[in-house]
Amino acid sequence: MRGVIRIAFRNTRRQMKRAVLLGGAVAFGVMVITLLNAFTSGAVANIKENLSYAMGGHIFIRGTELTETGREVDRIGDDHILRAAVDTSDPRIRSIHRRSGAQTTLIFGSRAASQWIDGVDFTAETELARGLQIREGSLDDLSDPQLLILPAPVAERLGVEVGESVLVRLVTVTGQQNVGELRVVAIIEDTAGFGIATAYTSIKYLNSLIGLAEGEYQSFNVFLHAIGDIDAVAADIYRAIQDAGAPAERPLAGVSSLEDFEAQGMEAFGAMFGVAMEVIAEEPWEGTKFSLTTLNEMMQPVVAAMSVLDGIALGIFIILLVITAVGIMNTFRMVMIERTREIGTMRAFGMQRKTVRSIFLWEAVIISLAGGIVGLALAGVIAAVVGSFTFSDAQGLEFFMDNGRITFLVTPGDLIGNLAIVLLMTVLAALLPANAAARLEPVKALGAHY
Amino acid sequence: MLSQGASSFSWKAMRVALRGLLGAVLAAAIAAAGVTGAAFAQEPDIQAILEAIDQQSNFTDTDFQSVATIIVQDPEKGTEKYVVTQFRRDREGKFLLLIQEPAVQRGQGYLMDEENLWFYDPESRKFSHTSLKESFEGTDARNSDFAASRLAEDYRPVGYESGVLAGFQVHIIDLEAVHSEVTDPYLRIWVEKENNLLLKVESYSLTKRLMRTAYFSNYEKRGSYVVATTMLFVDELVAGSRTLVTLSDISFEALPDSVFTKAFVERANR
Repeated sequence: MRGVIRIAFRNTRRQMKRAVLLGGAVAFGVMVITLLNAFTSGAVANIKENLSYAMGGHIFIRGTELTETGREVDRIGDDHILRAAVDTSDPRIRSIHRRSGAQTTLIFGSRAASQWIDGVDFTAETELARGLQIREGSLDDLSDPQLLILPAPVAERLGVEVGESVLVRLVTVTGQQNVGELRVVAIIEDTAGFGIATAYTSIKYLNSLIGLAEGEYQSFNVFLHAIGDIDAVAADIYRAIQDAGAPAERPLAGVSSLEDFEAQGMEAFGAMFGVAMEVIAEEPWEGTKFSLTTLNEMMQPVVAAMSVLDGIALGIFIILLVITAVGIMNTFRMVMIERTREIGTMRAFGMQRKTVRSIFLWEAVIISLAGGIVGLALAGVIAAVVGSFTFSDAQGLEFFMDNGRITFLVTPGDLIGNLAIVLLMTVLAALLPANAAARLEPVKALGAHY
Repeated sequence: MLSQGASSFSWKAMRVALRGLLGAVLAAAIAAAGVTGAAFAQEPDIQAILEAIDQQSNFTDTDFQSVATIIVQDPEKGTEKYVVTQFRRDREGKFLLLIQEPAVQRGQGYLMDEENLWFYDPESRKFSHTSLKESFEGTDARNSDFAASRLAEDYRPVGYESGVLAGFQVHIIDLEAVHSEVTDPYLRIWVEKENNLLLKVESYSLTKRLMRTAYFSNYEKRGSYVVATTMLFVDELVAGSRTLVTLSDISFEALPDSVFTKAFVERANR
């Protein structure tokens, strides 16, 4: 075996130009597919990270209660079941946040803008302030309950500056109109992108506006250390809630297509944002009904879209490889013809057919491996260079990036898979000429003239 | 110790003072009784007024159809116009709004079926759930403004005074929502005394901030029913934002049951 590999390696070096050209084609294909895979993986990871900060967690538990008239309202009044279900000593859990939220209209003079506002307990959620990028103002003093932290695009739309007050018009959990007043203390960058950046105020004041009593809130958010633990922790919490006898549901779990998401996902998504729905409960229940969703579930349509991109990238990769494989096949046919006498000599000295075949196949393996490694290296260099740039003006793409930078995330599975495909294609391409070389008769081969 | 003369003087003065005081107290009591009596005699049966308003504007034994022209003035977007055909069957809590203009929204509709309000989009051919509490097409009018009036049912009076508005003698009534699911927690309404016509309505938030003022400047009487044909809704929070609704082509002819169905809305767009 070692002798065969040595011979194959020597043969490859003898025809370096040809090997470089073939290897270069392989390298190009590997570079393209690696960059695309890494880009989509990085984009998905960034979206998850950005969304987790925007929404204040990785796992979201909301509660629904019934009014006296049988209408459903978005509210968690008694959370002893949740406190029992979520083990704060679990090393996977980083923090727990209680929030309320409302879709509001902010009004400043003759201008109005729609804005989602999260009510936050700033004394408990110290990480939030650290994670916000301040454009103007300061978060040093968050004691004013009527403070407002506003995303820059909305501030520009309203023409409001730090220190000024805006009116906030919203609907209570039971559907009544209410108006409050908030003072802008800081304007933050819209890192979430797509105009879905959240504004923040104190949960105490927001609760008073939306009709929640002291101690009540709408969303119990669990922040984890690792995104990879989301599904496992969510399953544990869901099981614990059910074991406690509370009604529970997973509105977005099991969504397998965009149609499913539209059918049930958007209702749950809307419920997640506390939109006061005039829904009469079909089957009444007592106490609080909990619904649990995770970031992974909400990301399903995004992941599905990214999978399409990955599929397209794989398709392009295979086309490139097929073209390269045709080139490899033709090249090895030429090599076989050129080395006919050499093959005849080796066969005359007692080399077996399978050894001849192995030499050709190993040459193909060496070229594809070398090309693959070069391709990976090139992809790494390009990723490092592109990833070092900050795209601050990339409107609408902020959500895919990490603070304006593109993230390339390479997974071992992708690497090994792509290399395996390359190897397989080149070996298959070289198989026919290798078999033809192996079948050459020594006498005829020695007498051949090309 | 007082001298006899002084004693006599002080006692007499005291009697005079006491008489004066008693007289003043009696006069005040009589005056108060008179005012109370007058007030008791003047304050009307507010609940009856509210019921009268609801009764004459809710078409309980007939159907209703009209064309509503809605002019929206928005300080940022300028002026927009909508034309909507309205169908109502108040006895069953149903209504249908079909948008005729602008052309780009032609065929969109709002269908109220007892408890559920649906929005239909002819582009996607889908019905989506919406709410009476939502504004109509982003205007200052609400979906509930096109539905039956429920003042007597949803509100209780908490204040009253008599007044004048645009030359009309009016009741000025403060109302408070009876439960937390009524859209406007507080109202102040101006009701024309002679015919119990609603002339003006101020809507207040839970925090008692004025949100919207509605003016009803024209009415058309048909039998026992009155229809407000001109309504102006002024957004008191967004400066310069207002919506004018004008009704025309009013009809009380019976409508087919099929009008208040999703199938009708879909067929109307073919």
